[in-house]
Amino acid sequence: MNNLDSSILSLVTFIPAAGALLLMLIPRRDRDIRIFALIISLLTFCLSLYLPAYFHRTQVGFHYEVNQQWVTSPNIHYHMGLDGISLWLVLLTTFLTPLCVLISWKSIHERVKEFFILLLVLETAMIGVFLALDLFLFYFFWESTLIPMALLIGVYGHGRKIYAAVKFFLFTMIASVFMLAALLWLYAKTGSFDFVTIQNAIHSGRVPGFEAAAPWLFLGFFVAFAVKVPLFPLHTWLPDAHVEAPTAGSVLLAGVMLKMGTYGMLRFNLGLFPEQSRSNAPWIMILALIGIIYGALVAMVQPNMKKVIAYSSVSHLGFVVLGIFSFTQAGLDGAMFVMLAHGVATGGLFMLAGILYERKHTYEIKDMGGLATPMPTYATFFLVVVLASVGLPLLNGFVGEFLVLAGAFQNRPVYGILGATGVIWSACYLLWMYQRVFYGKVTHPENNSLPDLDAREQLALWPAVIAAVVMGVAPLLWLNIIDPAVATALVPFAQVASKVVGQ
Amino acid sequence: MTGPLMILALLSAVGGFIPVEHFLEPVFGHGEVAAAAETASASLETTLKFVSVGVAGLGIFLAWLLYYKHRDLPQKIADSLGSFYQTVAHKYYIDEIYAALFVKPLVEGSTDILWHGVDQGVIDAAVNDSAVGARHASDAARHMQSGNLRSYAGWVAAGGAVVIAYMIWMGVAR
Repeated sequence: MNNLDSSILSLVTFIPAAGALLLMLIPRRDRDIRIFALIISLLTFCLSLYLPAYFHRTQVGFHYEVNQQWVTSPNIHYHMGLDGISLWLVLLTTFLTPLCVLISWKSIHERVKEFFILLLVLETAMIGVFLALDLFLFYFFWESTLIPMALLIGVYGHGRKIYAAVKFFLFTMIASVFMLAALLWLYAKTGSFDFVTIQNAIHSGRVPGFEAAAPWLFLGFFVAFAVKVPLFPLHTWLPDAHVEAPTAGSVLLAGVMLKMGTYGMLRFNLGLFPEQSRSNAPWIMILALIGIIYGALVAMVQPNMKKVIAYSSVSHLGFVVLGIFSFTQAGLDGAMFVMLAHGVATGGLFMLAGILYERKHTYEIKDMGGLATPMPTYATFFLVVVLASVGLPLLNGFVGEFLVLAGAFQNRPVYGILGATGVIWSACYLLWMYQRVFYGKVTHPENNSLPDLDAREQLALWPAVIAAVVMGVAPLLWLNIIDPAVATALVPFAQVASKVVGQ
Repeated sequence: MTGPLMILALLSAVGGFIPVEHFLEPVFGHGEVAAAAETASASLETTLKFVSVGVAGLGIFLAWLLYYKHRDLPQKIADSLGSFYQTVAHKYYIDEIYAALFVKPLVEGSTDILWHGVDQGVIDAAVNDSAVGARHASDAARHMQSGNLRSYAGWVAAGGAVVIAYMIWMGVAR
């Protein structure tokens, strides 16, 4: 037992927020503010490396738990804990935030201080979502991600930024009200917001009226998460939010915030309502399949680079939902891995799109063309990240998609077959976009003078590229920790199956 | 690019002399290689060698004839063959057929039906219309608050009438 064990989760969660507080006191010298934000985000990342380093794979349940009374009445606890499911999502967050600081170095000129304060507050809220084990605390962090993100889009975005920010806010806000209602019902019946307590109460059948309410509770949680994922047909806020958001906002939105939805499904829908999850799985999987194919087809015809990437997220997150509701070990392992791989690859794609925007002030594909000639290094980085996103073997996209498809196939072959077409579609839209942007002759003469990547931009991109390769070559480093946690999450499903067989 | 090409050219000329017979032994084992060697007799191997070199030589000769010696010859051949030449030159129009059959319907269908139709026309429109509807409803309700005392008195009277009517109705129902 290490001294840090009891405080590490609080440190990782709140150091960015403390940094944001300190940032308020620093005078408005933009350079100092950027450096300070970078140091804080790097410090958080380094601290978060403690989590996998001292993680005991054999230990069942939550690690580094903190559980203290926060409010006496109502009975709210500051209960944080980490398992193999949340571990890598926390690391993904702390990994992407320093890259976001680097990529925003020059593109943000005005209200620099407020920008980095919002970014750090957002980091705290996102980490909190993955660590909170008290449902009220979870809801608190869940909603507090909305405010900094809506401000990032609305203040620092471009084009119809207010429209996009309001749309983003309303979609996710309205949906999470249903989750709040479900939370309050559970509290009213169990007298506790604690995840583990409620889970035990439900599994031992000690919650009065649960049988009748469960389908609605399941839907309450599910709607909140499905909008966040986003699952077809609740996805239309995503392309708008992405196109207008500043680069760092897009990276964190696609890289981390979408995974809050799939994480929620895995933790709460499957964890609290196994029987409802199973009975609702068919239509959810069909929506996920529609999302995979529909998202890919719409991505293919977008004239705007960021919209291509945004719709590709709809498609890729469809894979995650498909894997989760296959209730197979492979499917859930794959879903977890796609979450991480998509965070790295799509984060990289948005950074690359942002770099181009700084030079051209547009995302329209028709204004590009032949860019590999003036920007060879940029084109190389872009190709690696595109191939990672497409799911080329030895890069990170392949492992997760393969596992998800294996799981879906086990569940029902036609799901696996339809899902597998998604892999082909993703090659279609991403490689076609790559061809139109980079290959051939330079179609607009002004593009001849575009400068290639500078050292800072390369510094922001290298970690993403290295992560994409390492995750593709050695996925077991990640899966070894994911696997036991997923197996634990699947235990109730084995019981449900045996119940069905027993009848 | 000349450097790599030179290496490849050199290898394609003399690569055959590199002794690689034992290269695949770890995979196929000795027995199968020996068996394969027995079936393909030595004379057949020699014949095939000469045929392939001959075909390559013929190709080089034809290229020299058509594109170096008589440069007008390719055009004449093309003219004399007519539509057959056109078909072959366009690779039997496979690309065009594919584009018309698959690419165009897919791209246009995705644009017109899925993106503009479903995404913008149905889902987004429903969301935006609900916002517009809420605004219209609120706008209508807003006019109740006119600042006009007589109209307020009217609203109070109307409210009172509704309450009385409700109480009477409840009494009758009981």
